[in-house]
Amino acid sequence: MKYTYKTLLNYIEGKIAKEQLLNYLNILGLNPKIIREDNEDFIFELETPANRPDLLSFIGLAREIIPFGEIYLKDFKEKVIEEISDFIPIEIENENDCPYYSCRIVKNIDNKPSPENFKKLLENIGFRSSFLVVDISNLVMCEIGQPLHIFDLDKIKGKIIVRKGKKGEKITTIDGKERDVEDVLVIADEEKPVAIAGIMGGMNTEVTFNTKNILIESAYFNPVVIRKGSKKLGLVTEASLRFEKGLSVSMAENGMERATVIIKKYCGGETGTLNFGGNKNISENKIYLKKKNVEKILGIPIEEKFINNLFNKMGLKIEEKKNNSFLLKIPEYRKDLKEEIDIIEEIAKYKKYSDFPSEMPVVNIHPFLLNSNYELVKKIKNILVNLGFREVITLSFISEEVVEKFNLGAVKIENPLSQMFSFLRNTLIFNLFEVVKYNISHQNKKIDIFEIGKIFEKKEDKYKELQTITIISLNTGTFFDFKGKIEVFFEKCGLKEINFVKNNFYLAKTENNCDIYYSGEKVGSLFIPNDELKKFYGIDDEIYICEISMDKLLKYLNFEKRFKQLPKYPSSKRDFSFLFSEDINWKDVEKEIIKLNLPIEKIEVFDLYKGKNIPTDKISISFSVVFRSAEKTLENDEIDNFEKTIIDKIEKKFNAKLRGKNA
Amino acid sequence: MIEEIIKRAEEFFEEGKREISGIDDVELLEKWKIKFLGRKSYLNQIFSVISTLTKEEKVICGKKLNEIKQKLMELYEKSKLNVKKKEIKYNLSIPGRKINTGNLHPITIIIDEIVQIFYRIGFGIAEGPEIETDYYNFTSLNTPEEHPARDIWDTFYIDKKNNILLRTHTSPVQVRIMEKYKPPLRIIAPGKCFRRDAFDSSHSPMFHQIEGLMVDKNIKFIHLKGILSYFIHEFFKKEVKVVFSPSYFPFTEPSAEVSISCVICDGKGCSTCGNTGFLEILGCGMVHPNVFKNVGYDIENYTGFAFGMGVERLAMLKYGIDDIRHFYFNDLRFLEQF
Repeated sequence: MKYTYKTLLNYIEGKIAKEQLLNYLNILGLNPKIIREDNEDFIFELETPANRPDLLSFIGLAREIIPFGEIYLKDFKEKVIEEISDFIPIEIENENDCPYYSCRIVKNIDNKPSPENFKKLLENIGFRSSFLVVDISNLVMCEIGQPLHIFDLDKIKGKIIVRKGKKGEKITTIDGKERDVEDVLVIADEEKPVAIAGIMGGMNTEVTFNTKNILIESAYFNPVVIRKGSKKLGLVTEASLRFEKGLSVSMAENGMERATVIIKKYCGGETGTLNFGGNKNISENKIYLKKKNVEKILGIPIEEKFINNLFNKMGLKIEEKKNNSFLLKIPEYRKDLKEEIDIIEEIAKYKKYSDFPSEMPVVNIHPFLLNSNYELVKKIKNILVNLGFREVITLSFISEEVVEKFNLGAVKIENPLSQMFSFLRNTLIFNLFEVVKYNISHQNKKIDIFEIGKIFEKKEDKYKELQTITIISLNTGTFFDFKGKIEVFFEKCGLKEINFVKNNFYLAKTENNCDIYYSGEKVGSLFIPNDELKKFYGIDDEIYICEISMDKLLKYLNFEKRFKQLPKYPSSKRDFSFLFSEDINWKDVEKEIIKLNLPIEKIEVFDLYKGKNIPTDKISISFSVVFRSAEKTLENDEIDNFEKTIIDKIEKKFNAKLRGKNA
Repeated sequence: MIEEIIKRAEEFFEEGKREISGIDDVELLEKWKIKFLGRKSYLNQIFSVISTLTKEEKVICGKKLNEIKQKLMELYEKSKLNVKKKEIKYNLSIPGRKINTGNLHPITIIIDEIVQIFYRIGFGIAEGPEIETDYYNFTSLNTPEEHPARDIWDTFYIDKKNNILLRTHTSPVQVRIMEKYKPPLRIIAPGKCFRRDAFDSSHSPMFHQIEGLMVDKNIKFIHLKGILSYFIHEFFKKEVKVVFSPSYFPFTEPSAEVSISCVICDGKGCSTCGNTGFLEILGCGMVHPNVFKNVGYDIENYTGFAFGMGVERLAMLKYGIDDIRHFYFNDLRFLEQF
């Protein structure tokens, strides 16, 4: 609903200026938004908390404001006079669903449209005008917060029954839609449902031109029941919004009283006897408030005068007071006040949050160390960034199309936003391909990216979240540039001796996948994707992917550093080029060279060549060997000898041919 | 034989002497060095022949050849002092060659800025699962089933029957940490959250939040104001007005919403702040006693506060980003700006 300043003033004794009102509403955190204003009036909306249905009314709002100044709530004086003894019997199937239901007959009303001022007010506060009696029920709801319903009495057969909808039962509501009300709380007569309780009335008993006699309903429904019904039907109304937040028996009584008075005043007719079902006992809540607890939570002293005025204006009765403690009786319209802390919050509100000082707490320096991986993951990200990769973050979802096409056993979301986001990803690869595709289509063709994020699995009824690193390159170098970066990455993470072991992977080009092992355990994989995957994303360029399990990486991660003495004697480098058989395993070559037991510091491949002058089943590998002795400067002829030894060994062992050597 | 060798060596020396006399350039000098002193030089080839000589001849020959090598070395060293390095002229107006660097995602950068601000005052970093149970996401946070406040968080369910969902906020981390550790504690918990919101310029079904929690003896509302004011000034690094006003969250009471004077228009009113001059940036409050009861904390002796903030919103304000989807499209031209 919307509120108007002038209407609100009708419920307040004393003066309150426009600016003052806005200021109060801001202090209360209701964030007023002005919709329209002219010289004397303005219309505004509020953000009211989920536990305050009372604020969805002029009286509730007036009550919220009056503690601020010399202003008071206005009283209603008129009382109902029952003129005829007609009533309709009520039967409540389950008093838990509907603790209190009341209704009253009014006969021979003057059924006419609303006067202009009613129409204007309704329009201002966001309602459409209908027949006068119906408009009155809406105005009373906005005035005191209690939703009411008006039935055409002559269309109700026999008694009123408050019950759950039966299997297959349907009702057409006043908005013209047919709704399935099975298991939803309804108001029925002896033949049919006539309204969806607390949500919307039925067309079959709606007030029309021909209506002469009416039945006014005012009830207290179980908020959970209304909320469930509203959700099930996907139908939210001004009434359901209030009922689901929890109203009360006394509000239902007040609503009936007020509606009857006003209907009598404007529509005339003969007022019938009130009938009700359920429990009329009002259980008023009592809260014990200790002054020291107010100070314990808020940190500022509270004066007694302030408390007395506040409680008085809020309608909280102090039943007992001793030793700086208060026993408070809570009125039924403030069901949100359940315990001491709720009262403390009210005190804070009216003390004005902005008037509280800002202070730093004085505490012991308890170091609070948790075993979070946050700092380690940050270091890992920085290593990748230093290697030239950009971090991306993608949504943790994956589309139904991808899951089906690539047969991924991903975890499904029961109520997805759309097919695009209907599963939880179980690999980052597809999301990164999306990013690649997006960038290529925006002329960003050189891509070096990585993502660190969780992937999700379900195993033996347990959901698992696995942190994963995925790195992708295209158009930024050769496969060996990429592989080199991955090797440096592992080295920087303290995993010095990783092994690449050929394997097959369903997303990789045949023969173009290897698993990465450290200490006998698989930590990741490195591959070139197959054409199917590339075609799916419309990517032509060569693309390289590396996936690493964060759990495994963290297990072996070692950022500890230890200084190694710098070498005393100079080194010498010799380069070699050999023609090897194409499927040579480089690790074997390295092993053989190391087995020679020469003073070797480092062996490094620096060039690969296939093509012109090279037989198709061969590959030329160029590498350098750095010799260094810890004891002396190596002489040229010594190194010449080492060189010869290496050449002999490789030629014999691998049937390789020396292509040339350089100083 | 020896004479022949020595003669050739001397001729080689003379050749070297002749060639070096005209050299005035470093590059040519280095070429000369390779030719006359390199591993493949003629002199070195002669050296390798020595092995075929008798012992006596080896001595004579070796001595002579070493002499020549020594003299060539001297020539080289002398000449090296004389030749000047070629003066290279640089046209300084031509731009340098750029190298490709990587960088972190702006969300990661903002999260770390926030985490570090709290880390400096002794908050430990905590994390929690993204697939949560109804209990941790709602019930333990004083939001039982059918609580109307649950509408604030439109939830994705993985298995509704078994109460498995994607967490809608980072608040469950509070409960998980309190279950595991006794008070006092101070934590800051960043992470991904999920809400069933459309993917548009101001909403995303996945986003990041940072949760904070402090529990100790004598923690009061005035301290919540103190800590968060410190944070906001550290984060925005400029004078911003901070306003606390009442709000409602089931798991804190009193609850507050913190707004700052708009960092885009300095409070004058613009489209970012909806012409109000103020921006809501975080929700907070004193931890509700029911939450403490749920984790078995002693509510007589301990009090605390909690707060939560949306990372995307703060990043958008700090960097002036107008569309939340930029974070997830990952356009390289967007990413390289941070």
